[in-house]
Amino acid sequence: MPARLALLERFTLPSGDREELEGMIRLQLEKTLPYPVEETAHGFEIIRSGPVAAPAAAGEGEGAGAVESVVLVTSFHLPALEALCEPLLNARIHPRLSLWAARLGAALPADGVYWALWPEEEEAVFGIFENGRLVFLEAAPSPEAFLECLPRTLMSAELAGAPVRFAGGRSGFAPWNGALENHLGAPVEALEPGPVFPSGAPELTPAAWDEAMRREGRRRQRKRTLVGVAALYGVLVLLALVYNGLQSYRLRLIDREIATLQPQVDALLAHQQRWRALEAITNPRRATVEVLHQITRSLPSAEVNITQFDQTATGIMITGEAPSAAAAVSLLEALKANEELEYEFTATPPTPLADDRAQFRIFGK
Amino acid sequence: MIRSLNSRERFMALAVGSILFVLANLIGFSAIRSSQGQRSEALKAKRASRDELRTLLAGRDLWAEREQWLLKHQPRLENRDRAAVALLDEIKAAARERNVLLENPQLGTIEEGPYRQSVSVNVETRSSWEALITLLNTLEQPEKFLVLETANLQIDPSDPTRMRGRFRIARWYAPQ
Repeated sequence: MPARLALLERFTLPSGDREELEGMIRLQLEKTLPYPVEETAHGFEIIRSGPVAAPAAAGEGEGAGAVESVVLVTSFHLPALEALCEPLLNARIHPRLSLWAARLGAALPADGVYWALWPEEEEAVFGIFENGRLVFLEAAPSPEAFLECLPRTLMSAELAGAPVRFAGGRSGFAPWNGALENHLGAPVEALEPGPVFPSGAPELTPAAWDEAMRREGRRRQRKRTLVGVAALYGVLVLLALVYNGLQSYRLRLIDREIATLQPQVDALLAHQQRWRALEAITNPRRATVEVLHQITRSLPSAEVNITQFDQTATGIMITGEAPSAAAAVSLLEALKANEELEYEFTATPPTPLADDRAQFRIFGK
Repeated sequence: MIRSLNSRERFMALAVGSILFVLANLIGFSAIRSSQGQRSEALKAKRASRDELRTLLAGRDLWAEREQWLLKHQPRLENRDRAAVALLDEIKAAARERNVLLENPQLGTIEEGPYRQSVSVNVETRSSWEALITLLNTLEQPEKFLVLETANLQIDPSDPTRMRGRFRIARWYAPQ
């Protein structure tokens, strides 16, 4: 933040506790600031903290053990801050704030009192640093104007409690280094332009901005989560579609293969059908002579005689005589067991003859 | 004029949007799942069909050989008028050679079929069992394409040592 927006106040307060100091500072600011505290953002640094030096006139024990702190409070008027940061705020960016001038202290020696004069927003800004901490700040339109009112500036610093005896100084206005050294009585070194100084200055980000940042962070987190879930959902849908596509592709491949195989199979089936239609010739087991051979092989004994054999396109019929009904049944069983005969055999019950013999009739289909 | 939604309206919009989203997903995913189910079933059925075709084709060489054999050996009907006479002559010659007596020969008509043209004759025989079997064995050689379409054998009532037979013998020519 630029120095022109900052108000620096130095208070000596009777406490060493930061929380208590915060409350006291708030009360002090209500008294000193030209606008309500609610419209400000402020932070503070403890310059010194220690036991209270008891005055000689004070009674023994009075104030013994009491602690007091010297604090430097940096305040900003929020409307001015918001006007400056409007582009960022409109983009939902809530920057963390600190006074740029306060960061300069980190580049100065940690011990001693130093001054610095640097250009900022077409002004010349003068700061006093005590042990690396910014303790006084004053802006002038130019280095020349600053030099003109330097005595008054130093007096203001003294009145504000800032030390004005310097061990050295840093200047961002090289042509004025000689004059500055003469007037401030300390060696001057060039201020390196544009370094990024380490943080160490008080945090000045308004509480509302912190809350907005947290809210924004949560919103972004939610958005990331939603995007992640949406991506996962998209991947699932994509996988489902890819799986569907893969199945369709496999179906097409199989269809193509079937289309290639089908004509060959049709030709093959036609060959089979023709061959089977001519089975009476192509299948030796169907030949009459072979059937007769298998039937005679199946005769259970020489006493079983076949008296008639009929063959048609649909089957065969065997008529004969056996010494007993059991022998006729044995022939039927033997015919059924003969795997060379491709018929299903049935028979009518054997007819008994006068000489205890039995006449049988067996059908094969 | 557009105004931003208050929290209640946002909640309602979110609730309605969520319900619509869930419904759309239910419909969409059930459609996808149903489609996948149908595809899986179709895939299973087609694979089975393809495997069946492959299995059938595994015996392709055998059936090709059989087809070649039929093409090579099945006779072609050159003379429709003389086919039956020629067949009877052939049977007579075979029977004479094997001491089988032929009786009552009758010429049949030509029957047309998708796989054959059948030329047949009806004959009766009288012979010994051995002679008859030898004759049948001669006639039923596959290369001759002769079929005993009907056969009736019985012991000769006048001489139990001999057999009487009635046959319808056909030659199956290649179809036209």
